[in-house]
Amino acid sequence: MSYYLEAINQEKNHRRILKNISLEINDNSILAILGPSGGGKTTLLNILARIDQPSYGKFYSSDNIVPKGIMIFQDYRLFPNMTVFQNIAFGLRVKKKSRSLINIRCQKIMKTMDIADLAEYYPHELSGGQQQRVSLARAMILQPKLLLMDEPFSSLDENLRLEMLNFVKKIQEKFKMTIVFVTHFKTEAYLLSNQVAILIDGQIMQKGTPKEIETHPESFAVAKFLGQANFIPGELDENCFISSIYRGPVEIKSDSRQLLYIPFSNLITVDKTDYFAFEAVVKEINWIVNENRLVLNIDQVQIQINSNSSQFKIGKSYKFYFKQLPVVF
Amino acid sequence: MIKYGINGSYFGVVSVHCMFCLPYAIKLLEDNLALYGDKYEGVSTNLGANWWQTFIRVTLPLSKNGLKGAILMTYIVSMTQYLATLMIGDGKYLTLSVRMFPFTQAGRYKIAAIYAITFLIVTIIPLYIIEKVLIFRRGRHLS
Repeated sequence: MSYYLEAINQEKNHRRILKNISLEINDNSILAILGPSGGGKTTLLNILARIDQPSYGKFYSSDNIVPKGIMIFQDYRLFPNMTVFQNIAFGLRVKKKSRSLINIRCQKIMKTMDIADLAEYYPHELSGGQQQRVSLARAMILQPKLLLMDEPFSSLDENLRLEMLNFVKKIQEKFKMTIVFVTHFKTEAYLLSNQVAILIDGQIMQKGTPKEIETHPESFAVAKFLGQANFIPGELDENCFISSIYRGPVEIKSDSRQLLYIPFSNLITVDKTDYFAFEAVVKEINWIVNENRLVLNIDQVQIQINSNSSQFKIGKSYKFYFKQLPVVF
Repeated sequence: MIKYGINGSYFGVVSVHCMFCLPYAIKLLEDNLALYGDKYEGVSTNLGANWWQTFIRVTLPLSKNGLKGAILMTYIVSMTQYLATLMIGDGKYLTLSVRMFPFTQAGRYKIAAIYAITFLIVTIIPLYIIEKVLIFRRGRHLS
């Protein structure tokens, strides 16, 4: 079952938080909504969870049943007056399921989430990771077709974050459900999702696979949000870009600001191609995991690129090439 | 209240006590509700509860501390209402503080002291009971 958002708009206090959001969410997939804080991510998720209603627009599914996602909140929101067991059983209790069924399903889900020994604990006695598992169990016991996660890993430390990312992936594969999660960490989005939608200032700027998004940002806003890039000002003369470091052909994207986009990775190489970029002197080499960050000097202009080659020496000059036609926004 | 002719009645005494106590009770409950906002109610609705289930299972239990404070404060304020009880009750309704006050005025401190101790007991015992009955169950690892 696929889900559709059609021209969703949300206005609060005369401020448009969401602007004409149209999205298709595929069945049995993980969609990440990636964007900066204050961009409307949580507002969108609240609409999918039916906690909030949009000012205009429709949210529907392909099987014509009114869809409603079950939400996992950023701060977990486990009921503080209930034990882990009572928290998990809450959704079934309000549906007036029998005590024996609740017990069986709770035991099963707690076993799956590896929290069986925490049943009698209260939320304040649990660690962040344990609280997240309980929160996940509380949602999963309802066997949702659509699971929503609001910045689910933001309060976990690095190791636990990776562990939980893998755990959620496993759960998704096991229960064959659709997950929509919002985050402002692009690594998190890339690691967990099949599709990424970039939400900036209440608008979906781009949707694609993590690789498509990272290698082909469609607008300046997306490129700027993704970061790890140099933006070189210059002037356009038809399809030719003239700047202090590069003069040559470029691909012009629609919203032209006359900025040459040079991402740190995947564009610049020393291997000869058809697109000569510039000659630069290596000023600094900084080690970052698995590769080096080079600081290059080109006629007083400094840019940074990543390279996994160890051939560079500080103070030496090298010729650099673009792997493909560079983009100007 | 005298103008509306409810002085000298049980209803009048209850009304005047409410008038003095309600602001404290409302303030304490309001502050307690503001502490959690509506975030847990949102979770409850999202998990499928209706408004009544949400109120009974979430809002009310989370208001326990505020409710406890409000009951305690109301009880204490009500117990110490001497002048209002005397005025609106026309002296017909003898609460503990109404009984005690003339003795302190007349300098009969021994009897007044007995009343004071009685007053202390009837204030502290209900406080203890309310504290025990309405307290949150805390986790085993907390002191």
